[in-house]
Amino acid sequence: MSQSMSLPGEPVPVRVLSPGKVAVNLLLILCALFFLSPMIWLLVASVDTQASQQLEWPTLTLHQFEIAFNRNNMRALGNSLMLSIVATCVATIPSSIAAYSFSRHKIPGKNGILLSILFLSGVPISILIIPIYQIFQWADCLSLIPTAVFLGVTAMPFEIYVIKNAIDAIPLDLEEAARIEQASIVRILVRVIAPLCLPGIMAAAIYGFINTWGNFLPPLVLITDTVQQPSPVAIFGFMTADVVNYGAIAAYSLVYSTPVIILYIVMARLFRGGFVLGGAVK
Amino acid sequence: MPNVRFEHVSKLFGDHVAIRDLNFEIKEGEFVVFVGPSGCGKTTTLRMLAGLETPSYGKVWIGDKDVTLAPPGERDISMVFQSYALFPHMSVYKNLAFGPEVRGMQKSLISERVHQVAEMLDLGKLLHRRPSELSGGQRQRIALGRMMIRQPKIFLLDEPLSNLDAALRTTMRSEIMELQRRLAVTTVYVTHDQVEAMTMGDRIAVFKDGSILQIDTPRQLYQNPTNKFVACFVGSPKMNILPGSLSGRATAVKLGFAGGSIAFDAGRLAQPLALEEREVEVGIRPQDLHWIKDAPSRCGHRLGGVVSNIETTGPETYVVVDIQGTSIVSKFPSFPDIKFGQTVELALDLDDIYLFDRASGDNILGNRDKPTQADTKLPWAAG
Amino acid sequence: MVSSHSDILKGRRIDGRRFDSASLAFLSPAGLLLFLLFLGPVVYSFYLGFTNLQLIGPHSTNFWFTGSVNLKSMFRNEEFYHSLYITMIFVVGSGAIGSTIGGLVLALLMQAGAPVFRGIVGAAAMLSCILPPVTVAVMWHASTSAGGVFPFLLGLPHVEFLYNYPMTVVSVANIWWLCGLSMLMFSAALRNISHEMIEAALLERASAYQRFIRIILPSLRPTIVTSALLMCLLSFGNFTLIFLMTGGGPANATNILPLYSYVQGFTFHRLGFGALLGNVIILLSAILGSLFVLIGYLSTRRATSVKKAGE
Repeated sequence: MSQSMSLPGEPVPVRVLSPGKVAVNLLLILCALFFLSPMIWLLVASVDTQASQQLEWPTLTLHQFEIAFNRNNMRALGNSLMLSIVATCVATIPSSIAAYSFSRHKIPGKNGILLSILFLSGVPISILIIPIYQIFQWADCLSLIPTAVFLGVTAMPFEIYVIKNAIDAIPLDLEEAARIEQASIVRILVRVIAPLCLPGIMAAAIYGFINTWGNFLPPLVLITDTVQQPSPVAIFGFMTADVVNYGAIAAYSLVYSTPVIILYIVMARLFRGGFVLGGAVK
Repeated sequence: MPNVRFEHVSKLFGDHVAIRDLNFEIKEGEFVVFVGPSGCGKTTTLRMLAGLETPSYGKVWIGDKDVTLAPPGERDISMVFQSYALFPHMSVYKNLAFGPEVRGMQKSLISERVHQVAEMLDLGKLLHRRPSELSGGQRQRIALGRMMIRQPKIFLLDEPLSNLDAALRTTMRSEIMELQRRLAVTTVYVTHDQVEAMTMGDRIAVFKDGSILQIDTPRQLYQNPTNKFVACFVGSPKMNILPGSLSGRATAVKLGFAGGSIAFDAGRLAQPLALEEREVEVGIRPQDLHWIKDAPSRCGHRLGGVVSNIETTGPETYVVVDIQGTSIVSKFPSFPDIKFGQTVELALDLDDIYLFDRASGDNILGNRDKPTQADTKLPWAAG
Repeated sequence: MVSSHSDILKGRRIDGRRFDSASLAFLSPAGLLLFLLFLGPVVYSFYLGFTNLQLIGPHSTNFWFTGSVNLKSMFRNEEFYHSLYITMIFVVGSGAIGSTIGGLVLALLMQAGAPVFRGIVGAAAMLSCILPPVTVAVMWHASTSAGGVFPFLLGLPHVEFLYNYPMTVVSVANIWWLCGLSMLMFSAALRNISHEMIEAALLERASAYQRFIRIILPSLRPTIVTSALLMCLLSFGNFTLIFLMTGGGPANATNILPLYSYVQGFTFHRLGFGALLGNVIILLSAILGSLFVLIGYLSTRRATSVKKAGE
């Protein structure tokens, strides 16, 4: 029973459509088309036996995915995983410790140093390739692990910035209260600081992981052994081969891109979940 | 043996002198309140006692140990922060157990202590909740619990009640006082609320601009304030201040104020009048200014003025009277029959006035020791 | 109790600023790594740019400082100026300007549009910018070759878009990839514009256009500058997209500086020359970065002085 039946007065007409609104929504549909078309191609081609660059009705098959999961390709994926995990550890652990110092300690010239660090995070990595290649060649480490360390270092400036912001948000009161209870600096870091800035550290770590996972040029140049190459280089190989199997490339690209999408969703959840500070400060 | 001693302590932040030559002592088991307007240095002094700030000059003693440079953990003190500083990611139990765990107490002993303290503060059923799930009053009690669980030499409290609503504040105030009485631990309490200070402290230190103007019992602060600032700070509504002048010498001294001049007993002055003329300020509390229709017989002196404002609080009415250009607040009976712009006559007993030097603000009267109207309402007036 | 300032505040303060030696311990792992593998190589690159280092051959082990040989070679090289020119188009045109405007338009459209489209476009734009660059390159390579999605949608299915209009396609791909991030920044900034300001303008009968120019755009100024700077730098670093789609061609049509540097170093073995080109990139990004910061600073200064004049 609608309540409006019992109310006096003439109902006011509601304006639903206006030319402006129609135009806006049409434009939005066009934008959606613009963004989604290449992605739709990727999805369709990955399940098509006769995939080409055309967007056509697929002859459904899982064969392309079988190729994507073959031994060589899986090894490349494994290399990507190894590369990203090592790089993330190399980046995140020193960055967290440095970020704490930047947040809490008195350091001469701190603001200048922080600004330079922020500036470093905007430097394109391609300029470092040649000198690093020289250094690695001289040190005979043109392989996976040293490359992973290098990629970790390139992610450090941004990670320091993110983690420092997370630590800044923790009230100083908590550390002072712990100091009054005779807690040592290690205990304060482990029991008080780390749990509270964990979302920030995780976000920084996920950034480091995604950054390394998607990196193409450094592994191309710095890893000489094809057996150790990660997925981006493998995909490059497929694209420049004599015979290009679009279907397999599409399927493999999908598999390769999935971890990134999952991690991004996790990161978005972390920030929406907010921080655990409610209740610490009145 | 005094429990706390500050010896010529000063603190500078950059070039700014935040604390200036502080010297005071606190006895064992005393409840001392630091009170003053914001920015006066009371919290900084507390933090220097806690070890969270280091003095620029001077020495701090706890018991017979020089703790000036000692870190907070070595001073055997515990503190309630203004923000409570509860660990948000730990349960109430873990918050309380944090200190004992750090000091390596056995688990069974910790559990016993925590339950004991929780019982005392009525937190027993909340031990497994997180601070974020609890109300302001409950969080405040957890902070108190964390302070008490260790049994240190000194309790420090930094404006713990300032964010609670008025009703809760009064309840918590008496709870804290009862706690301190029971545990008999030396306590230093910081607040900006002079009513809180007067009701809670054994002695009160009034801070202004980085110095302690006076550290005394509430009664002394009320009856014998050392200067105008203390006199106006303590007591609500504020003491009225009128410009005046003392003239004459020896026994024939005249006091001129509010358009009139009266003979003044020079014996009431702390020191004999040095100059022929001296600019002063006359202080009189609103409670000591009565409506002529309602005044006790001892109030001989009359003042006349025009009503400029009437403020009723229910049981009391404070009327603002314009006397020779100065606004004077005076206490009238509840809902009196007067109107704005009406001329009224006020009566006061000259024994109730205070005299302050106009330039320095110092109280120039000698000590008085007489019960005032307000005495009967305060607990320490019984003796 | 108040003593004179001078006689009690003499001597050395005991709360002197002690540099906490613990901070050295905290900063050294990160600092060491950054110096060895980031800052050090940048400095080394500056040196290498002026040597005759080769990838393989006689000068790969025996190389030496050659002064301005590389420099002169660079300035005499027509391809260098061409590369510089298209780098500017790519980085500033497609990156700073294109993506910023695209993101702004997208954010505005989404604010005004129906919730269902808002959700779809928002998700699609976000997805486009988080996908790995390699995947984006694969998608766009296929979508802009003859018969691909975009030629088909634009009604010219037999035209090789990528081969015939390489710079355009690559620039649009760059915008496609960066828009999502720009849109995110502008959406957040738009949400922060006080609704009451807009309502006050509505009361003054301001049209949508006037509201946009007078209220919304000025409030977005800092975001515009930040977005332009960020997109500019990200475009500079976007080696993968162009390399995988065109390899720098056809005939150097998309040979932006990062690719030029790589090809010179690793295909033609002229590592010294490649390093010099890398130094040019550093210089360029520093200049562009400072330019944007300057523009941002000047425009906020003008805004506050106008505000002061009005007070």
